[in-house]
Amino acid sequence: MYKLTGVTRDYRKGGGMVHALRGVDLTVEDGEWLAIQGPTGHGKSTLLQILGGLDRPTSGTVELAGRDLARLRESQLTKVRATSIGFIFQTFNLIPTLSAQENVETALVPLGVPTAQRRDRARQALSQVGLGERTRHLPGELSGGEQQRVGVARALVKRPGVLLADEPTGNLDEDTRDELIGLLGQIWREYGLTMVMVTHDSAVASQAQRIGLLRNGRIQVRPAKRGTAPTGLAT
Amino acid sequence: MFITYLMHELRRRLRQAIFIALGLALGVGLVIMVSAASKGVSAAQGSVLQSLYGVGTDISVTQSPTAGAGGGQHFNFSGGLGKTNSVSKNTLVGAGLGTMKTSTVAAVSALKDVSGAVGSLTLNDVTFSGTFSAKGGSGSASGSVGPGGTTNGSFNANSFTVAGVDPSNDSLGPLASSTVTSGHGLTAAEADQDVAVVDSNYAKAEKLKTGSKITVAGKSFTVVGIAAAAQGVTGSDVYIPLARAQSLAGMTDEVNTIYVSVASAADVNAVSGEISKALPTATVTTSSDLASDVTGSLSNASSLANNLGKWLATAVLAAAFCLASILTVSAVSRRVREFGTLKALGWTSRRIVRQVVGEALVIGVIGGALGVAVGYGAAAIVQAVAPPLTASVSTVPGPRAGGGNFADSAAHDISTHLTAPVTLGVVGLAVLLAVLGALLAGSLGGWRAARLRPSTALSRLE
Repeated sequence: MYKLTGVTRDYRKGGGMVHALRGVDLTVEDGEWLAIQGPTGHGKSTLLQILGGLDRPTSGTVELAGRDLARLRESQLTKVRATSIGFIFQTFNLIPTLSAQENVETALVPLGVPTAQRRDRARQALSQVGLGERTRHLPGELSGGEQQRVGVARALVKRPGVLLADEPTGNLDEDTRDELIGLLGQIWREYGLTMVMVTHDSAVASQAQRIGLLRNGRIQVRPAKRGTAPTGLAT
Repeated sequence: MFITYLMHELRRRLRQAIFIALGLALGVGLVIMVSAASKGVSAAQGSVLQSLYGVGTDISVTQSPTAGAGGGQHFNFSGGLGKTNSVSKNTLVGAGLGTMKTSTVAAVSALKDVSGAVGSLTLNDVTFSGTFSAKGGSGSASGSVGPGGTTNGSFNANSFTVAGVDPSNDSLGPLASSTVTSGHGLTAAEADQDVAVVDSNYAKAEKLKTGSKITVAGKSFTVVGIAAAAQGVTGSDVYIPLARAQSLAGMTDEVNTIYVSVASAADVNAVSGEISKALPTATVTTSSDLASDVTGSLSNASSLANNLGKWLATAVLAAAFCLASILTVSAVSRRVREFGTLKALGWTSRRIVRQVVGEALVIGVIGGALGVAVGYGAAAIVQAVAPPLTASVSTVPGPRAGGGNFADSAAHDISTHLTAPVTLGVVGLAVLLAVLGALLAGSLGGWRAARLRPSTALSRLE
């Protein structure tokens, strides 16, 4: 699905130059679950944003299904994000004034889905993540775990080929984390998604098929210690 | 989703939205009120000027008085020496204006672009009565006493104004701006008759009604009509046919004011020039000339509305626009993560800008609607509580003939009530301004949102 070649990302900060990524070469196969770990500030989120077309590399190529995201115009990138990529954020990033269902619907708006169909699909997505009874609740009325489930529903409602998750369990307690990772694993298996997840949590990372360790802008990838077919977190 | 998101967002920032809407409402309301007051002042000025000449008058022509002209104000009386003599005189005298021949009216009427011209004669009816005695000296007591003599006496004088009007043309002249409330106005058939139309205030004071008799220059006139002058106008007390006024005043074939109407407002200045050329010694006055002579609180109100009022309204509106823009941009800055997320979900910058502009537009429309209510209310208050405005204008240039206590005042003092009409045009303009202000604010906010890079937006911590 993804092929990154010689990707660098530099930006100015505080009068100096920060080299967030230094010549990253990475391949992610279709349907693979890749976890990315590494110390804070070493480029993990930057890499995820480049994979998602939210940022452009300073140099190198970022091929997604054969298209170099680095060469696309902004409008084309927007379209790729709208149709092919689902995002899950550490801080949930739900729109506070919209209900759970309306938040999920925001992912379908760019696709021009008719209103009735859009509402229907949003309800189904929420049911799938166990929030069928909470569709009208505002984010402020949901727990952290529930908010993240809304985030998952929002990411999946458009049936993307790729799911990018940036510390999805970072703001959750242990039990909720386990539930969420179990859910993600289930969805990954069921839909054959290509999933790239940034996480500090080794227990979470070990559920993936491969783990990429990003340090000082360079990545080293190795197989995960636990299973090629994740079955949820084992105790 | 557009409407849902918009309404939910406005509800979230309800206080800020109300604040912006109120700011816009204040600016819009002020624009409406100042425009209404300005229109009211213009209307008041128009009615003042109209009443100074009369309805339909565009130009007035007068003549500077010369010494001894205007019929004079002198009284002859005589009596015996050494005894008390009584005297009673009632006469028509000039009102301090110079005179022109009646043929001048026809000459003016024949000028190009003149649609009508009439002459009138404004006079004072003076009744002088009393007693006097003369002692010693020689000669007779006939207005003078010879050497060594003295004269003592006590006298009373009453006067009222009389205007001789041309009954064949009631659309021009001093009676044109009055409304006949009883009886009828002067008709062409009554041109040589001893009939009079009396001003309603004078009639009330003198307890006159249609059919009553009044004495003008010692002649008995029958009141055929009562006329109410236009609001704030001080016209003559009594109106009689021009020919009778000329005869009684000993001013045959003379007028002291010519009222001129012009075919088109655009021709006023040209006609004024033609009249000045034809009558080089005459004083030709147009409405704009009078307008520049108007003083008093009406003039001050006009300056206030046109200068301070408009600048104030502009300043408040500009401040409201700035406030709306600042608050909208600030709100967008606080929603950076939100917009970054939407961009990550595939929302285009255009869709996000549309959302921001839509929110600002709704606030602008609400502000405009509130502003209309504020404007109407303020205009109504102005109309209700504004004190009467007075206008003073001098209508006679140069020295007065005759002098004495009986010359009519050369200045007109007119009182008028200020209205503040709100027109749909002004309302529409004000609402448009509010909407434009909102669009400006929304555009600035939208531009800010459009420039956001998703990665930068998402990297900011809340």
